[in-house]
Amino acid sequence: MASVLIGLGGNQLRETPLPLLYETKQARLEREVQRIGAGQRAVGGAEAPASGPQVLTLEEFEAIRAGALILDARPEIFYRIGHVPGALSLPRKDFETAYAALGARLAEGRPLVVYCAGETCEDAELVRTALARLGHAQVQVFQGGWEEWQAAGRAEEKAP
Amino acid sequence: MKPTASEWLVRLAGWCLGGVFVYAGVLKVTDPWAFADSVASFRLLPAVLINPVALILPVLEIILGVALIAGVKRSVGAGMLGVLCVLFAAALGQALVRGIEVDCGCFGGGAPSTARTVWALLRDIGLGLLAWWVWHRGRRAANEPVA
Repeated sequence: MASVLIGLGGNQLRETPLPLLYETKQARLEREVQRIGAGQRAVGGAEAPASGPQVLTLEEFEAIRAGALILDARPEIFYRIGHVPGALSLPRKDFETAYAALGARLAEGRPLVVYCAGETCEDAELVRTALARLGHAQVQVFQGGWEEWQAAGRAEEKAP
Repeated sequence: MKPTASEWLVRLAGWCLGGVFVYAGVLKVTDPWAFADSVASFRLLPAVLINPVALILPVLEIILGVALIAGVKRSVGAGMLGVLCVLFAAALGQALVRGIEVDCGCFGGGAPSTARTVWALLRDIGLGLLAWWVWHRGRRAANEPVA
């Protein structure tokens, strides 16, 4: 069937072809974390100990927003369309590249807050775990994410 | 022979149906990783089949959609899209019955949600009925003696 040939053949022409065996998001991200870790220092076996609540409500998020570094875990295209003012893009799907690009910003010592599309998206929690594995001590998730932020009528920022 | 009004209606339905599937297919082809995650979220297929399905299904959607828009083998294309709709309905339905939160991935990846799954199922049934109608009309036209 033509679609089998085009689907599988076309995939080989991609910059990074999708492997034929499926790997979960978690497994893919963990490999990226391992690669980053090998480059800087050994990745800790367990997450860095957390202080304070891991999951933030909208009110809690707003209370610490000014002093925190906010990270948007959604695919970059969504970040460009609109994000929480001041947030930086750290997409789960391009974690390794984006992490390297952010570089020193993450090491400023400010607490990190990650969010994704809404309450049920998984990207923020995956990125939080990855950051914790890379030795960032204080990483929290704004649970309501972009959906709640927008629904509450808060200010939005578009990518420059 | 000038096409009749009902022939135009079938064509229009074919264009709409084809357009929806081309759109859906293109969104998936551009990010096979996200679609593979969506397929995996249904917990139906073994790991060896997930990525092949994620690569082949969107291309099939595009080919059938283009055929329907172009009017090439319209009833065959509509019939096959109808079969796809039935398969999708089965996949969505089993997720609702088993209480699995799936990320439909119908039109690109999103967040898993039961409400969106119900909506996806209704949409899929609508598309399936449209496909069935186009297929049915095509078959009837083929069986009618040429006037």
